[in-house]
Amino acid sequence: MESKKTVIPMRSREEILAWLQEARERKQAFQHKVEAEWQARQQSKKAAAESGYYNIEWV
Amino acid sequence: MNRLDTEAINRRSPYDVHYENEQYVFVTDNGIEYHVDFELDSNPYYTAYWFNLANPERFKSPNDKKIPQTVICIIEEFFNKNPEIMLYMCSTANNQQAQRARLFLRWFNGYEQRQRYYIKAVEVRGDENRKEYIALIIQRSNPQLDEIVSRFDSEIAMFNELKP
Repeated sequence: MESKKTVIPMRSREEILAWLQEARERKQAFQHKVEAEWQARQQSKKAAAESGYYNIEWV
Repeated sequence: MNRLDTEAINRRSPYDVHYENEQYVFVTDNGIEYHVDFELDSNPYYTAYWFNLANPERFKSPNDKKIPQTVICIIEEFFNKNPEIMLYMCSTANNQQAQRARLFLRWFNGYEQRQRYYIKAVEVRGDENRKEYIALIIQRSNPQLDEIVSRFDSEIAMFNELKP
């Protein structure tokens, strides 16, 4: 029986350029997302500290 | 993508890795956070994921060997759960992409199970002759290995030769 062989088509230069651009933008977006989440956590910790949250006596 | 098992990662990883907001996160001895994620590539012809590594504070932690060891454990678990292709694009921050590519290859080449994988790092000359570095990592057991590597090589060679 003849085996099936997949063929991966060659992309054009323009397609590769768009692929690279997309990869670069995703990478930058990930860095920005991680930074924004980190900043939000720092702000939240700061706000909690300023509100005296950490000084509450539970007993 | 199949989610990674952090317990499996942490059996070998020097830093404790946890899953948070669809990212794999670890904190170094110096208190520096690293976040890892994998994003599906848009190429419709085979399944591949872009590996992302980010440090929100952008602090440097040179000579911390536990960082590459932890990253390799995450990548190993990625391939255990996802028999796909991993792509990595080096950051161009401070124009140090070539150094980052060499560092990534050094990390990977020091990995004891390295022979299970085929890794190819290439320089790509994009717009304005900006150099970027991309690595393709694929398990040698992948039945499409030869075809994918051959296509990747051909495309990058064509891309670098042709002027826009």
